[in-house]
Amino acid sequence: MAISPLPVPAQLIVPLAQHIGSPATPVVAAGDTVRMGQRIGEPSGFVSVPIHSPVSGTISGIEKRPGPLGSPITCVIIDNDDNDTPETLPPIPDPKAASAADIRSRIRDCGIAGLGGATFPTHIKLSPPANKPIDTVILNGAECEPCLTADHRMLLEHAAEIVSGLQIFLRVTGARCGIIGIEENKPDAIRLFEERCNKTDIRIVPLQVKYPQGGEKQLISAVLRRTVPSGGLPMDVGVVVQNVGTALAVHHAVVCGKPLYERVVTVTGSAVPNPGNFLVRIGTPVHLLLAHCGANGTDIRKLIIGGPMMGFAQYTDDIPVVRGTSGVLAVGAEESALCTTLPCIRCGRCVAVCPMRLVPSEIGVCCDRRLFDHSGTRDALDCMECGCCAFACPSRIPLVQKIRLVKSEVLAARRKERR
Amino acid sequence: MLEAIFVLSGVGLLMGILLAIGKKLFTVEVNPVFDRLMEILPGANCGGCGFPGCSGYANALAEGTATPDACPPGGPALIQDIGSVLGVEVTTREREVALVRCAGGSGQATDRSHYIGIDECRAAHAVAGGSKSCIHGCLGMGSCIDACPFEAIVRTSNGLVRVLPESCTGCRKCVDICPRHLISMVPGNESVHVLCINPDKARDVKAVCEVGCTGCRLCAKQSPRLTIEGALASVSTETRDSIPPAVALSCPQGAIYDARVYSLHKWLEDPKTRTDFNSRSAEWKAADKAARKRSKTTAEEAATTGSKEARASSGETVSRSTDTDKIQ
Repeated sequence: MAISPLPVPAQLIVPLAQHIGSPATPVVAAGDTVRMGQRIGEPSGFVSVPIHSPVSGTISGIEKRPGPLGSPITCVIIDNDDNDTPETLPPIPDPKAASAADIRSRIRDCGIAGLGGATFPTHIKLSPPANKPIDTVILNGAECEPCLTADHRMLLEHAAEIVSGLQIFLRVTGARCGIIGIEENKPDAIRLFEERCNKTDIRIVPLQVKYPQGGEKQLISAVLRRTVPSGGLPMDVGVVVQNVGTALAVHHAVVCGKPLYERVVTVTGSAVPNPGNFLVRIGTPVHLLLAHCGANGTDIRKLIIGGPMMGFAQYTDDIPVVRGTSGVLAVGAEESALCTTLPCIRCGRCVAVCPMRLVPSEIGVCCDRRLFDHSGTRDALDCMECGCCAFACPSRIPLVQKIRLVKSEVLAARRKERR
Repeated sequence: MLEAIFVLSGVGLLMGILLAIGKKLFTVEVNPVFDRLMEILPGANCGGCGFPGCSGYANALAEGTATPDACPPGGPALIQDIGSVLGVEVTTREREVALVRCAGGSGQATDRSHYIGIDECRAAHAVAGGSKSCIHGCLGMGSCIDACPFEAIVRTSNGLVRVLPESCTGCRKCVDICPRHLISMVPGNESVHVLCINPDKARDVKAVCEVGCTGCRLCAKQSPRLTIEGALASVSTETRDSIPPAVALSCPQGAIYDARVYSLHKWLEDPKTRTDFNSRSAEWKAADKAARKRSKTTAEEAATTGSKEARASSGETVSRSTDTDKIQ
């Protein structure tokens, strides 16, 4: 399913909080005219990135709208004038000649945040402290979740740009080795990149097809056999992991000076007659995306933003596509049947499937009994909420939700202790 | 037989002596004040004082690092007792009780989604803000009920929770646990409360709840103790003047609760109370309107007569001046 551009809607809803960290502060007011790629939100701290207008047009207002995480978020509403008058930053045609600091500030100015779904600001990932040198950059070409095919299509259609993006990462971090990890079920992508990279210092590593192969720590372990310590970050073992989508966006930001205002979104699910991958402007309402794919509102019983394992179920389709929207999943009645939770039978399936080697059932019991300081919750913070335990559970226990509650309580207790 | 008696009593004697020596050797000096304090403290270990349990508080009191008025469950009587044990003068402080500031039950507030998951407010709140349309409203799953050590919070029949003021000791455990920050401490003898914390504009509040505060300022006009911040009314505790019952009756949303008129139980759960309140409110509003009309007409009359008088007096001066002219 090749990536096709989605028609740009007449009105876009651009949230100011699209990344992990503090939300951007609006720098436009109702009635202002903006150009495509113009800054409409300034970063409000170190862990923050600017927001750019995805179209040219007029600002019709700044108001609270439902966001993809449930609670209402401040959004800039832009009326499209259909001209797409662009505003780009000066391009850096030869990133190898530019300084690392320049490239880093460019990546920040273009608002790049991890496009795999976590939306962590990329410039921070690329500025590790001096005592943690980076020797390897891994590009994540394993699809983050089942059902999504956006990364695969990007690999096939934008190979040159992705390699260029990886080279920019290598330049900024000073790493010598670049690796692209691609799952074995994408032989066309593996072949393409092997041909393209055989004379460079970039290696292609075919990966076993399994979920969550795209998790940072799992990818590092599969590619390099290095283990990230509990509570640590990939930089502790000298690695930076980036999504292929982020590499593509970084190439566009640095070489072409184009800010991040569009992304590739997979639309699929049993209630979508014509699924596909679309290049969507940030701020496009999800219902338009679904209508474009022929999905009928009455057939959709459950709407999930993200993938089937880690995505968030929505109560409305009147939410915008944001930087972290990797997929839109609309499923019908059959797949969204409600089930009742039964008691734990101690079968141990959750323990067997946990990629972080935790004991989800025990953390769940600690949650039920409100024993948040029990030794069973010790490693709960290592959980990345991949959803394997809840998926494997024959009693349909919402284990991820329990672990999330334990995590928030453990973190709250730590904050209290520090005070 | 005799041997056995001697041996056993010998062993007993030996053990007794050993125990006596052990007690002398390993005895731990305990502040006698600590023991007496432990006897009078409630022993609920609620942590409302900020110390780890009652023994922690007693210890701090005995060492002089805590004030006698820190135990909320004990109330004024306990403060007096602690004062007499420590031999210090004490001042009692006003009793505070917890209040859940939401009256939007299943009949009044709308739901936007169906929540399936663990029965715990904090977890439900973390999943996209819960199932209620109002993201400030009570989720009613009872995290506060689990947290309350005194069983002072109960579920209502319409999916809310309420605090029993007579059982509440003011330990604040529920205040900390509520993910919506809905529970706050209010003076125990206060009777008028705004049961809403939604600060949104009137249009947004009306869209999600029938009994939410819209910030219309009608109550603030009636009593200076009700203050409006943004689009939300609240009862200020700076002064403690009595608030007239008309304040609650005048609220077009019925978001103000007056304990002198209805019990909290009836106000939240009995639909008859709402109908009764609405008719009383309508009656009061009609009477108020009539009174205003009357006062307006009297004011107008006064204004018209006043102007006549003024005209008359000015005419008088004119005539007087002409008189003086004549004299000149």
